[in-house]
Amino acid sequence: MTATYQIADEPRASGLARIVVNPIWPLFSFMFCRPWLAFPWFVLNGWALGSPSLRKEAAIAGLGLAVGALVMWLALGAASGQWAGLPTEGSFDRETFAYLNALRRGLQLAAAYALMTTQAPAFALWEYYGGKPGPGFVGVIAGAVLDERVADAAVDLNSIWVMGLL
Amino acid sequence: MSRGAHILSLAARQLTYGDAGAALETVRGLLTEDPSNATAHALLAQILLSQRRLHAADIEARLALQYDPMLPYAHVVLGRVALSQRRFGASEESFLAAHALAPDDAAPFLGRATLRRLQQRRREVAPLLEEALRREPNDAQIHADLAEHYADVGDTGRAYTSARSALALTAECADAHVVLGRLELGDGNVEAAREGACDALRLEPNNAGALRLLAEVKARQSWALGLWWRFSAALDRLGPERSIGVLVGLWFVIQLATTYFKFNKAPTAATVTSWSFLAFCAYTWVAPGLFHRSVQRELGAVKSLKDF
Repeated sequence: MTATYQIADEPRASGLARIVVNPIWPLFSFMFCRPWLAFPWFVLNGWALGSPSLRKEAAIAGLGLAVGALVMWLALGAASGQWAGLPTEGSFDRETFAYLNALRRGLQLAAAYALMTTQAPAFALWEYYGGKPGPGFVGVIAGAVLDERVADAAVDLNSIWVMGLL
Repeated sequence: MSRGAHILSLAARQLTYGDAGAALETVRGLLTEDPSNATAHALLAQILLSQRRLHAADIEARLALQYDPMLPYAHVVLGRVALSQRRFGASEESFLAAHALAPDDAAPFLGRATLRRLQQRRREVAPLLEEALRREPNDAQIHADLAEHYADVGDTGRAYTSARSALALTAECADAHVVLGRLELGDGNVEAAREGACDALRLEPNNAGALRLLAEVKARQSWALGLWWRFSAALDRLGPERSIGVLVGLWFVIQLATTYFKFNKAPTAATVTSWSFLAFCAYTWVAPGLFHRSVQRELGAVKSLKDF
């Protein structure tokens, strides 16, 4: 049997089709818990979907995490009276931290939105050709339940790169 | 007529009648057998364009030109794709290349007229459409395009005349019905506007202009849904990147305000701000569903008519 003509933006089957979810669910996971779940989930979903824009999605997710880590580094430093870095002993200005943390969340939210809009056309095509998405709400609920534990474990690591995921 | 030409003609008809999915599969079948068929690639690009799959449409139009650089239709489609990507310079170049290859073809003039409309150079639109009409005087669609242009610039008299000319040539010109509906809506005749949209949908169930007009009519009938429609239409005009920027910017402002109120001993203001934003989110979550259902109900009524 000859293969049918394939159009450039059509998803290619990856063998992981069972774990594909509507990209709205990773976006919701960003809203209901910290970014540690959303960005890796978007990339995994794009891979399972065989998304033709997977590289772009991975780049956006990486950028989202890197920018998150950078702004967190600046926020923690500014709040503890130094220009950047992890807080040392002494006072910690919670108000300054709250403003800069809102900026960090805003930038990461933009990245999460961009990921959803980039992945959505491939998902729509995948679904159009008979793909059945999994129950993404399960991942969101699991993420919300585990969120605090993951955050505590990450803080214990005392690494700025891990902080970017929080 | 060769088998390939017959298949392409079938796909073109499927596309004209609004079944882009069927048209795509028809062309896919032909390309599976004959991957170097330039016209098939160009038609596939046009189908993908109608589905707003711009990246794939661009690739297909370029493939068409790779197989046959002298195919005017491929240049026209590439110009339309560039137009949708708002690459105006590339679009103009493609339309001019198509015109050089086929000076008697109306399509390059129509493409350039759309380009001028998007560039807000409205004075140049009518002459280009007139040029197209000189080449295809009995093309109802061009009369409808002229009517749409006159409606856009507020020349309702000429808009009515052109729309009626289109309908005199063929009563099955959906876009002419849409223009008449728009003009009625502008005059405040909501019911007549609804009829215009329904007439167009009877002829073309997926006509974008008719669906938009029907949605505008629904928005006019309910202020709550109308508010969402206007908000959504404004975001749509901005494009995906800018609309993400606007939404995230709105969220950021709310976060800043809430933080400010929290740290300046105004907990009530912080709560009100948070709850207002939550209400806004809930409204924008629910409104599209309600709006869609209301338009679908209207469409269902149209489709159940005897002459559909």
